[in-house]
Amino acid sequence: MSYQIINAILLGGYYAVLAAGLAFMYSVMHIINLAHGAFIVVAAYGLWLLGNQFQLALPMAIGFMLVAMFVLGLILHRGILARASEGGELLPLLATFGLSIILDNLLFQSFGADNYSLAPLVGDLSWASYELPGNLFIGKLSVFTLIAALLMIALLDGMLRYTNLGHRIQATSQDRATAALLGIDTARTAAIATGIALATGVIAATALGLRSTWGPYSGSTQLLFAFEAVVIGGTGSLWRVLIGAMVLALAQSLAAMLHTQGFLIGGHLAFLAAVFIRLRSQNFSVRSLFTGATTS
Amino acid sequence: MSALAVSQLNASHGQLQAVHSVSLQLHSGKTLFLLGANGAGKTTLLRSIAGDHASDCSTVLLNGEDISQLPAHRRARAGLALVPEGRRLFPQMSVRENLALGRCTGRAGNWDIDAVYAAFPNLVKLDNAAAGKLSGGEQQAVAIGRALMGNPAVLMLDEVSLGLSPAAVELAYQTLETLRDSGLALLVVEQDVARALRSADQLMVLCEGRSALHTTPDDTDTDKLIAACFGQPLEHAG
Repeated sequence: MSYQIINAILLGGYYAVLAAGLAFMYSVMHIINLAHGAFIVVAAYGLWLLGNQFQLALPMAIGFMLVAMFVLGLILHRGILARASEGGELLPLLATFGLSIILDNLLFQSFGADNYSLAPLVGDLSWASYELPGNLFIGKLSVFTLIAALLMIALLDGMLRYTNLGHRIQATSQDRATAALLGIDTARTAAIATGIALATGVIAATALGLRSTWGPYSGSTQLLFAFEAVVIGGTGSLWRVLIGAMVLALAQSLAAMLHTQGFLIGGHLAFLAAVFIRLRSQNFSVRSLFTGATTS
Repeated sequence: MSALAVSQLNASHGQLQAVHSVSLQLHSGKTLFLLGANGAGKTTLLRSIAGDHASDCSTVLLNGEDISQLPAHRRARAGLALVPEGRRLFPQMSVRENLALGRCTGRAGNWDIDAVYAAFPNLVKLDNAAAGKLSGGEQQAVAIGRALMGNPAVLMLDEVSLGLSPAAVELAYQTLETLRDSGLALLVVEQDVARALRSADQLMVLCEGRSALHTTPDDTDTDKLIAACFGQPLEHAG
């Protein structure tokens, strides 16, 4: 039992890595980026190309992709999100949904249906493990992923709270007109926030590529888990994503113990429970799905 | 040269034209008060000058430079500040963080957080307090301080005394006089006609989006101003 709980917590770390960018994007831009999963997969292919075609070490490849995805985020905001946001709350949702389909199929065109993995780039890290007292073994990679999740959320949260850029992003998010009156270039600030959200996808892509294989259509699965984690956790603070991810992973693990096919169902039930609690406590809107019940 | 020159400004809310070809001039070290009933177009005029609301066919000159094609944040960086109606602070951020955001104009000048605290001593003990928790007067002080942090050449204030206690209004006006004497050009929207008459160098009354009266305190009185606010200009004496 304790083994299952430890593994669920480690799995929660992985979901938190997936979800951090999605939650950041929603909390500062009020945009639900349905292409977040597809962008994670794009970053994974980028890491694979850099590692295998250009023989870069994985940390170098990660550094390179962080910059590339940040720039892609700037372009995404300028090209699509800024325009779509003018059309209301639902238009960015549809635009990013369409974008995810385009990305999925572009990846299929370019890389085919083969499955890829980053595991060969890091020697035996993918299956190495730590031994805990009581003859428990836990994967090193899962531990690193959980640490990455904690670091990522701490960095994003600290950036929002304590840096000038974070204050500009908050001001732009809360009251765009007033931010502009203070001399803040709100379009540029929002583009930077989008770039940061996409750059977090590189860490998610690393975790995805090291722990499993992926194909061109893997984005939607990653998005689903990220989305469920964000909705269960609610927004308000990025740390709630971590709670949501843990609840999701625990629900899945618990259901898997009850029935061998229960893993996904358990997660979906936790997600639905969170949705119903939110809908009961607030008038229905797309936004109420995400807003924490305590903040009403 | 005037610090701010607006000519023939028109602005609309959808099909409703809120401001009809209003022109005004503002000089450094002077205060222009803008009076008018609710819905007369005062706020729309200020927001249009600041670039927060789309206006058409108008020229806005700031220190002789045409800023009418610039978006709001570039106008702020050029030295035009607006303290909006309702203060519009960022409620979860602290007083210090709100003030620091004012520096985003990147303009050189004497204003920093210490200078704001010297001008508004009541803010010193609230340094780390969330802006949303302050009283109306304290919030107004933060809003004015935040605008000053950007070292503007022209400061526009919308509904300065709305919702403030008499003591807070007194403090705000004392500060405005100090600012005016330091060479800032001020454009102030005020509902309190008597107060405006005491503090103004120039007065303008808006009625239904049009400039109904443009005068100086020596040439007018409370009755004339109130009449103009409601669209009944008194006959000139005689």
